[in-house]
Amino acid sequence: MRKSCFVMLLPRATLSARCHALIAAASFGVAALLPLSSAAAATESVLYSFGGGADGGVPEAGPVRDSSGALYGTTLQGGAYNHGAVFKLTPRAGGVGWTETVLHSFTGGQDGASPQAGLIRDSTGALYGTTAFGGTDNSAYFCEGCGTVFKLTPPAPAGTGWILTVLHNFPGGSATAENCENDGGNPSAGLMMDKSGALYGTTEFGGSNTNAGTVFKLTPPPAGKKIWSETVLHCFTLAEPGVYPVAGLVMDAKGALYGTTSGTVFKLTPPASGQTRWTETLLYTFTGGADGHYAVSTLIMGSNGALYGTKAGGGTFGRGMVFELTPPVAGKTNWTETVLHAFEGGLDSAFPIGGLTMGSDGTLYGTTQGGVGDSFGTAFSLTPPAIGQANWHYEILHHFVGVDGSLTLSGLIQAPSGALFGTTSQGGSLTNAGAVFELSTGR
Amino acid sequence: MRIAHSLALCCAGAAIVGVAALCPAVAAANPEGVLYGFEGGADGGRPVADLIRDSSGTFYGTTAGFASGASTVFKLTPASTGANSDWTETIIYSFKGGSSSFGPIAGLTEGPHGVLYGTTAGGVTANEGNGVFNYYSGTVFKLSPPAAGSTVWTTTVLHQFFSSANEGTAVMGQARPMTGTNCGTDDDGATPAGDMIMDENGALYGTTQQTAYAGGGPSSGGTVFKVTPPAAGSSNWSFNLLYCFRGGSDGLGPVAGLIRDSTGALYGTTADGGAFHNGTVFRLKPPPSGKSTWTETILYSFKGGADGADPSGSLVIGSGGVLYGTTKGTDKNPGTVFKLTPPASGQTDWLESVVHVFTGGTDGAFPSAGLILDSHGNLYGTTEGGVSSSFGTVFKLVPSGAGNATPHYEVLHKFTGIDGAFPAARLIADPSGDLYGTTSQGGSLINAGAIFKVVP
Repeated sequence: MRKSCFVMLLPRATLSARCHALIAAASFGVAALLPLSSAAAATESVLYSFGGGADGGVPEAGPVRDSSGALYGTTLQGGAYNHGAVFKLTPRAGGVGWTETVLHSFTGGQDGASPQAGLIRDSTGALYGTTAFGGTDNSAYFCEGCGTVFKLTPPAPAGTGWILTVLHNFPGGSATAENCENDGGNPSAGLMMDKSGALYGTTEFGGSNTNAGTVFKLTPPPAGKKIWSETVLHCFTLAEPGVYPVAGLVMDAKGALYGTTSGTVFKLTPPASGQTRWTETLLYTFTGGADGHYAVSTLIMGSNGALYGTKAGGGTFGRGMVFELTPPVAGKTNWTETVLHAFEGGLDSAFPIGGLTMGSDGTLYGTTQGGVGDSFGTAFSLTPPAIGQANWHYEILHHFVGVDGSLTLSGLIQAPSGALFGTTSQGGSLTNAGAVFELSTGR
Repeated sequence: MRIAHSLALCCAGAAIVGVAALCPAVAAANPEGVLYGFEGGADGGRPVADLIRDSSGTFYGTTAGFASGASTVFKLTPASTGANSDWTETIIYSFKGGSSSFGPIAGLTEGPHGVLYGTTAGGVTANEGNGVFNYYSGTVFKLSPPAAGSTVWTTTVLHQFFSSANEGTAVMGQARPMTGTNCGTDDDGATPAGDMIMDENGALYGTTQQTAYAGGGPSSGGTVFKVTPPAAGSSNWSFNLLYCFRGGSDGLGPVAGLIRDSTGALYGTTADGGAFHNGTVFRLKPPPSGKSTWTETILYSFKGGADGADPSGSLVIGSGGVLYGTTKGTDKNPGTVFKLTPPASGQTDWLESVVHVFTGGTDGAFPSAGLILDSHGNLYGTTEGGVSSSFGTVFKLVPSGAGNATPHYEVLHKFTGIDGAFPAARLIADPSGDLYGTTSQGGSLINAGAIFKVVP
């Protein structure tokens, strides 16, 4: 957009004004009705805008979708007790509109508070998530109400309420890994589930005596039992170049976990037969400066074993970037980082926090948070280079304008139809409490 | 295709600000909108303060700045077409404090001959290595218009605030030594946040949000100060503290500017402190002849309930000497417009009454700026809004009076984000009654703030 404005042959000042005028507000009150962004390659519709009250408000995580097209997610605020909620959006019969249902309102007590992360869904339709705060108050530890892992079981019989079970309270589990004095605390990220039904996640704090965060595993109870057991697979120490993990994990076909910290991409390899200890390997350490020392998103893994993620800061312009990490070539051990896009701020937006999703054609989709002077946030795509080419093609799919969404903190998901779904933490309506949106790319 | 669509709408009468120049008739018919959306670069960003307007219709204001957006003093000049898209922004001064919030968070005061006066709030530098931080407490500055043939305004620092907690050097120019009352400490205030006012002799009166009372901590109290022009034959402005808040029942932390009545008494608000720790309205009476001490009287202490809490805006004097103001409120009670009626004959207590209670949401919440009053006694203001509330509003309030038994409240505009978001400043009206203001965010896709116009 900025570039298309600059091709006009006008003096600089006029250029700026004109360019600005084209992207500036429409007249008061009709901004949301107008396709303001000529560069936008997708059509956005707000499926539901939160009221910020009992229906929830400020969704910080992206949704998960079931096969019927219903969307599930969390809100940081709102709900019956204003400690956050789990919601469901069901498409209405006839395809007109969506109905929002609150599946659980967190009380801020034993059931947790302030869910920041998204949900995962198992084959029975149960939902699993984390709350960063709340749970059993154990003031003997570094944190009080250090968060939970919860499960929401669908109504049985139909028509009754969803049932929330706390699978784990932080701190409270047995910290079995070496060098870990404490259980983890304050999980900021969502979970992943392996084929056996075990859950894996991270905590931002806790673990070692330097409280630099953990990677944990929750193993389902054996038959006839009810208690999930927690194992701390790795606890970070301040001696490491990256600590305080705030993103989730991805698992490869061999069961190894890949994750991120403030400054590193790491791999955790499962114990060899007869052993108990997972082995951490640092795949990449961000060097600061142009590739920055800022929060890194949950990774996704391409079919070639490459890892893709976003960094909320750093990059050429200090406004974040999308990166690719390709596995070592034969005979080497170094993973190679390539910056696929460095955000410029302004109209190019800034601060991609939410991570990426990959379409079936290998296209990456993501979002930027934006901020003051850095837009209301965007949704973007990065298309892999054509054969024989080197550069990924970056495109802004949608510029948020405030009332249609603002400050997206989470990534997108893609339905089989190709439609993308996401949330914005603010905006979405004049109430400014966030929204769930759909992006139709026409692909 | 999309632009054509916009044009069609525009020329059909829907008035698109951005393309108004292409269809001027429509623009003239519906002149509400964004006059300037900051780009967040050298042109400034995040305007949080009030505008002033000269007799030619030019607006002057400040941007507080942020990481990439400059802290500036700017002017916005209308085009002869009158189209909203054709205003020209010119930077009068760009502060050198960099990215560390050294910029002004208050508006400007116009003196004789087009001279502008203002304040910078100070700030703290980024860690300059070795854990070294530099603190700045703010300045009072003067900007003199360019001499004939020049475009450069002349800048002078009239006073550099000094706080022992915020030791540092001037951001702009040279520091001047403090004179006068010192409230028992070397500190003379920090973080001026409200507009200054000028008296008939050219002296400026203002407030600092922090410091100066010797009995408190580094952020105790706040001050009321006066900056007096040089006496004949001198070139030095003098700085005096008129009052130092003790942070208790006498008020704590004024964030708004003052108003002055015909007797020279000053009226203002403190956002905190007072008998109930929810803020105050205070008056400062000049010393009697031969004395030097100004006398502070608390006219009202907010209780924090239905009567409001956290008054963050300046006051305005209505007929009969009543004072109107706003409380920014709390999450539970998101703000009020209040009236303070002077004591009846033989009484001493001012009477507070609530003119409007904000209900939150898009009806308006958190009015952080003061009000303006038109010749019919109507009040106009802004609500800042926020997360799970709104992008802010512009409202009109007709107080009760002859012909209307109850106040009438009307939202004139609800911001949507791109057309402005989170207005934190007082409005200003032009002679025809059109309203202008700033929003700290929004204004364009770049989201760096805006100057807007609303037609009541």
